[in-house]
Amino acid sequence: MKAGSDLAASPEALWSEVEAAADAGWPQWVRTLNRTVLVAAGLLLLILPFLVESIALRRNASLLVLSLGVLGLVVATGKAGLISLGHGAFVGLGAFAMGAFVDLVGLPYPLALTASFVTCCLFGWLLGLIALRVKGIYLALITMGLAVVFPSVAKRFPSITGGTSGRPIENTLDAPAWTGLTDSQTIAVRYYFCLVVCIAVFALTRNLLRGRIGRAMQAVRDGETAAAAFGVSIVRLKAGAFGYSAGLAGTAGALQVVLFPFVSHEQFNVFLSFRLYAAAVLGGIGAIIGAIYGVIAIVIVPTLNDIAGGLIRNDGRGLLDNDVIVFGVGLILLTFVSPDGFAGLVQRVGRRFSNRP
Amino acid sequence: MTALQLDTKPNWFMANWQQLAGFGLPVLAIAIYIGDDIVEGGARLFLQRLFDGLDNGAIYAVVAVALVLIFKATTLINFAQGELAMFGSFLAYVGAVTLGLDDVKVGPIPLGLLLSIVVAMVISAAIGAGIERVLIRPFDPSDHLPVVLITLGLFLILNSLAAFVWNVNPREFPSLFPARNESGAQNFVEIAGARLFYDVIGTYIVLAAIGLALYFILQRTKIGLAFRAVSSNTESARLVGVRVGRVLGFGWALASAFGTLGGALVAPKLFLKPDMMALLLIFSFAAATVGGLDSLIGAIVGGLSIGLIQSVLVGYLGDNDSAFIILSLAVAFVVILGVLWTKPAGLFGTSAVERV
Repeated sequence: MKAGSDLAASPEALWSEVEAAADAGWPQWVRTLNRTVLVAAGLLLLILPFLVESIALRRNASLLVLSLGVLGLVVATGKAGLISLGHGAFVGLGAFAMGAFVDLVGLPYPLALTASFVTCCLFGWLLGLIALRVKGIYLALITMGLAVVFPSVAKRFPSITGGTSGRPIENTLDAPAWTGLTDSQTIAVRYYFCLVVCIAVFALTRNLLRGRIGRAMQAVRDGETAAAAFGVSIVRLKAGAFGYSAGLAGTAGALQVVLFPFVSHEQFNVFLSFRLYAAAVLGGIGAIIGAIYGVIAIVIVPTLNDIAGGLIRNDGRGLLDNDVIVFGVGLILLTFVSPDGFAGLVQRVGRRFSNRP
Repeated sequence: MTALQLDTKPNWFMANWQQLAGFGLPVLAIAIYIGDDIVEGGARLFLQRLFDGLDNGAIYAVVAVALVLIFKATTLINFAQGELAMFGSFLAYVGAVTLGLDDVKVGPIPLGLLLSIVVAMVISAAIGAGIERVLIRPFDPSDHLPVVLITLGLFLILNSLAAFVWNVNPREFPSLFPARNESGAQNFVEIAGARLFYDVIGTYIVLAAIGLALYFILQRTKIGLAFRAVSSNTESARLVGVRVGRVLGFGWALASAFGTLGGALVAPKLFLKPDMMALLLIFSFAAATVGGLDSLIGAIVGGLSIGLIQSVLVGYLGDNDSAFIILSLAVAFVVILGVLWTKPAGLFGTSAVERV
């Protein structure tokens, strides 16, 4: 954005310019591809319970749920320009809050989900208010600190987190008795619950980012001074974006509790945060579709590992048993090849082959 | 002398009251809160906590120095610093234990261990310079995102590589100094009843040696002069003919070597394992932040003060070991937040002037 020359223009002109810039980047070819991926993924997710065993379903569902965490990073880092290496902590917070609301307060599941979303939003917003005085790499430092500190602190509240050994959730989400579903079919019910929530949250986020708020975020990311000159409240917007993004990550954690009725601080270590961040970057942190590509990456990478895991072995342990190394290599490679992730790669290839200039 | 100068005094207070309050109020509150515990515990306990705190603090300071070296040169934070140090310690482990060099001793001096640590430091320096050349230099340092990603990727790769080669089980790492719990040995000096162990004294000596070495390199050698020129103004340095890339590589090499030394110092206490440095890194971040991310003296002072805060404050507050670690982690996090919030330049750092 050319801040100097635009200062005289009206806010509407700024918005329309941002809009034009956003649209120019997406040739028809890419839109079609993205839409195809979206529809195919949606259809696959809809019929997934009829295709795979309940164990595989559980695993895929937990990855599907993590997509909300990745989406949170797209909102915070991609749209508002706030680097966060600590979203795993918010996933954990959401999970613990969900467990507490369901068991200790006794709320029904949809209410508990909303409550843990709000809790995480609040915490994220508060941390945002404190942390947003700092920028860029300092914010990365603070959030990484949060990710490292979180599991140890969580261990200190055993009534909620179960302390060292973790805590099973007592009130699980089951199919009502009149449906007559068996236990193995219960997981399908939970899966559909999560799927509905995920789709709803993605749709909500997409609409938010398309509207006033999303454009304000982009304006702040691209030129804070210019945005402030147009009457965007920087602090409110940044803290809000961070809060909402933390809420998304928290929803991911809460849904994980729906799938596996068990919480433990070990699930939410610093590697969860890094993996989320890596997935967001691999997918393309600048666009919502990037979150979907990122989740596909989270699904594909362990599968590739299973195939390739036998290649290099040491003490019966494969180098690729741990998918973390693939994410590490992927991060470095992609930073060189395509800093805006797979979505950006598709976009650039698409632009090359489209006949529009 | 003039009215103008008289005016500045109250203004200085008014301008800085937020920072004063940010630093002063917590310290005051803590002093009141644990004051009677200190009196009750007596001088011996207090002195003991002081020694322990400075011991931990010296190690934080070494790693913080490594962080600051890289920040000074490139205004980047190397998130993989801890993992590089861990990897370097494993290299030293290969020399000392796998190859059996640790058995080579001249009197009480563990010559073989010393040699393997030095070799590991040299290899780490080469790795650090290589990383800078291949992975960091292609990117514009004013844009933080790519380098955050690169160092994050390095973190993940080094961690899983170490877990693959040496597996995740904790290993004993030989100490450079006489071990604490060797039975029958009088391996400490007693000062007013408090025990100052030899390994603690050794850590202090290493920290002092690092400080002196850094001073000598930066103030008395040509490459040190070039390093200072680059960290003060990269563009001007380039214009007067300093080979900036080479200097940055030198900074990374130095940082990696010191990181490895820090890792080798802490490994006998924590046991050597791939995720050994994760917690240490947070304390070192806190140390570097307190001292100011671009000040080497700040890193040393910051490291020592974080160690002291940890041992004195948390030692008196916490009731058991797990509380100790958690409280000190929380303290480190709060310190990072508090410093960045009230005074991002830290105690000794240069304040950034932002032009709009």
